[in-house]
Amino acid sequence: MGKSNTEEGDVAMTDANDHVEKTNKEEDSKVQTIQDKLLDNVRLIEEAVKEKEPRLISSRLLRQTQVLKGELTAEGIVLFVQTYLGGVGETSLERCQNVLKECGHGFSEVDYESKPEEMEQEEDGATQKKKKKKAEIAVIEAELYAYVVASMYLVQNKAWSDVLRVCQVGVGVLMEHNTRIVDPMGARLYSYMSLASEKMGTLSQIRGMLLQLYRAAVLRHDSIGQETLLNLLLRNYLHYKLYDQAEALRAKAQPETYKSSAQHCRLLYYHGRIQAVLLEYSDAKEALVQASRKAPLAAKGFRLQVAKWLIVVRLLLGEVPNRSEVAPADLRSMMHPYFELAKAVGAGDVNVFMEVASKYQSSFESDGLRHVVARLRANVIRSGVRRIATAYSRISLSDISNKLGLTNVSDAEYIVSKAIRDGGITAELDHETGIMTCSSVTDVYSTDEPLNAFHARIAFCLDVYNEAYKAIRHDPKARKTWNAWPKDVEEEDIEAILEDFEDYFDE
Amino acid sequence: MTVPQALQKLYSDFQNCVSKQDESGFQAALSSLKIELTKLPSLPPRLEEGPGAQEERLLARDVYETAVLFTSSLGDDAGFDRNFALLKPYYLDIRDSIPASEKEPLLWGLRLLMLLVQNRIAEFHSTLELLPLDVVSATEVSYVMELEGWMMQGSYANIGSAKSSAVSPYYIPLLDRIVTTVRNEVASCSQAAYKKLRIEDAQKILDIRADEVDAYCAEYGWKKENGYILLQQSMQQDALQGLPEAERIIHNCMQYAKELERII
Repeated sequence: MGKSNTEEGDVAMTDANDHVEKTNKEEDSKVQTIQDKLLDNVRLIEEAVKEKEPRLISSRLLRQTQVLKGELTAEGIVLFVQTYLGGVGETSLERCQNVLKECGHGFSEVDYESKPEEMEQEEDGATQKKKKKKAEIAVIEAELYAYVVASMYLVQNKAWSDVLRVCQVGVGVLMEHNTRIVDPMGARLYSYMSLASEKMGTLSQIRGMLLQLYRAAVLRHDSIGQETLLNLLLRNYLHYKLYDQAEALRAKAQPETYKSSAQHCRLLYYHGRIQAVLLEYSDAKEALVQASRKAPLAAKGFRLQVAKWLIVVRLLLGEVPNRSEVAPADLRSMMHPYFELAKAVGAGDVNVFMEVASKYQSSFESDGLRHVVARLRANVIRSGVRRIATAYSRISLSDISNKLGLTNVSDAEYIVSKAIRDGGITAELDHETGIMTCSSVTDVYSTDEPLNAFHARIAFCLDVYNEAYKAIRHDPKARKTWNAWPKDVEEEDIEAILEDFEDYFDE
Repeated sequence: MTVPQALQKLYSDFQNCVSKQDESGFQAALSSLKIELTKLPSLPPRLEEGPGAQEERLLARDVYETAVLFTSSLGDDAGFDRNFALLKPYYLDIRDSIPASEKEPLLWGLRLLMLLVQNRIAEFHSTLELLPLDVVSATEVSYVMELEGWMMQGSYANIGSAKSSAVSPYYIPLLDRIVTTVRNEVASCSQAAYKKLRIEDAQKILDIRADEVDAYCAEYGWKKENGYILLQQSMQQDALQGLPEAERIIHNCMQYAKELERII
């Protein structure tokens, strides 16, 4: 009996052992898969270096890496680094490992000494040599790619000081290594660096470095780096409310064309914000509307911010937008204070406006809109005057002052005369009788309003067409076959064709 | 290391000039002080930390604050801008390293008021954004913000009475200048709004004396008749407006033709 017990026990033990081994193997295989995927991505880098095609990196590589975001592990990243850089780039490998060793979230626990299993032992020496040769040309690029992937992983885990450290090493490598292939990865590193500084509250300290990097990017014609760094600098200035400096930078440094529509979108948003604060409301509205159109649907936080600024700018311009116009359905719940604001401005009641402004003051403050919202008081009164002007043909000034909630009649008189001068309403004041006489709005078509409206629409359509035309990209491979003159066309055939042409014209 | 002797002497000279309202002496003292201050390492832009850093920065800030207040009372706009630009880093960049100044709200208020007087409204707003919360809620600054709100709104009557409720004596000369600006605004608003005004009413609205009425009429091209001022005779008639309209329409049409040609 006892013997069978131990037998069963043995069987149970071996089963358990098998199970443990299996999970180990599964984990190993999972880690291998991450490593495999990263290695596949690196093949893309090699191809990009060979073809001198940075676009491969900016679009395909980064997109594929983005997909891997959920599966990254510290172990996988270190294994990938060791496998790829192991034979070919000892300095890179050492640099990379030194930086990663200091980081948390699993990086310090990984065993850096153990060599990864030799998976490729079935291949013969020739394939291995070829692979090594290919890898040699892409050593620095692969190292930078490793930094980007590590930063991505650390950002997910919110390890901000680690991110900063990794990015700084990466930037150091970038500065020595001047090829355009690495530009998109460099741009990523800059953004992560800025993000980490922002979260740690030390944005002002990296400003000098960002300016230096921007200068370097301009000198090297690194367009994606330029766009990214300009946006990061503007963000830096706006974080500290340095609107004048931001405007000075943007006015001088705004690029003519954009490679990355995401960066263009961000620039438009910052441009709109600056112009709104500096009282250029029409410019601001144009920029913010474009930004809201270009923004991808997934960028919910960004779209929310743009929508908030847009609604305030619209109110400052005197339009009272309705709900559906301003915010799409998924953002509506978070814009409640702004809708109340719009209602108060539309109603023309100063008291309600002051109530709303003080009630939501903290949320306006956190959006950076507190002072801009305070400017709306004049708009409230103006819209109140406009409502009265459309409703009445003649009304006494004392009645106006009562309706608007003003303290005295002379105030009302001044306000109405200013409104008339600014073109808000068409009316006449008679001081002796204290009456405002409003001329009702005549036929709109006799003015040039329709002309302006049509012109704006036509100009927009033509702009869209021109931009689309400029943005056409031809497939480089197709061009190779197209340019070549077909080899089997003989001289006589060409002459015959030309004669036909001449006959055609002679007729 | 405490502040060097030469600097201390210059500083006391400077303060003497200010208290005696001696303008030329003030300028000379300020220039020599500025030169001496550049030798101190802890001030912006060098911003080196050291044992005497705080004392040096406090001294420098005090110098510039006094300079700003004195130039504002002299009515020297360019000097005010210069000195305030020198003072700004002490309020913004090294805010955390020195204890807050009591005069800070007053100086920011003065700066904002100066921008308002010169009609630099965009700079007014961008400066307002820079201010930390505790400064914004101070009476000196909120007074100026209120003033700006009234000007934008058109409540010019309040501005006239604002002078009596001025928060600080330094504001008074600037408030006088604002009243002039406001008067011009009211004149142009009245031109748009009224057909004719009795002379006494015009005086009341514009807040001017009887003898100044003629000067205003001459400036704006108003005619006087039977005790009334005729305001809207001076406005151009719409006939002439047709011309720029036509030009614009032609310009637009040419643009459309050009774009369409390009497409086809």
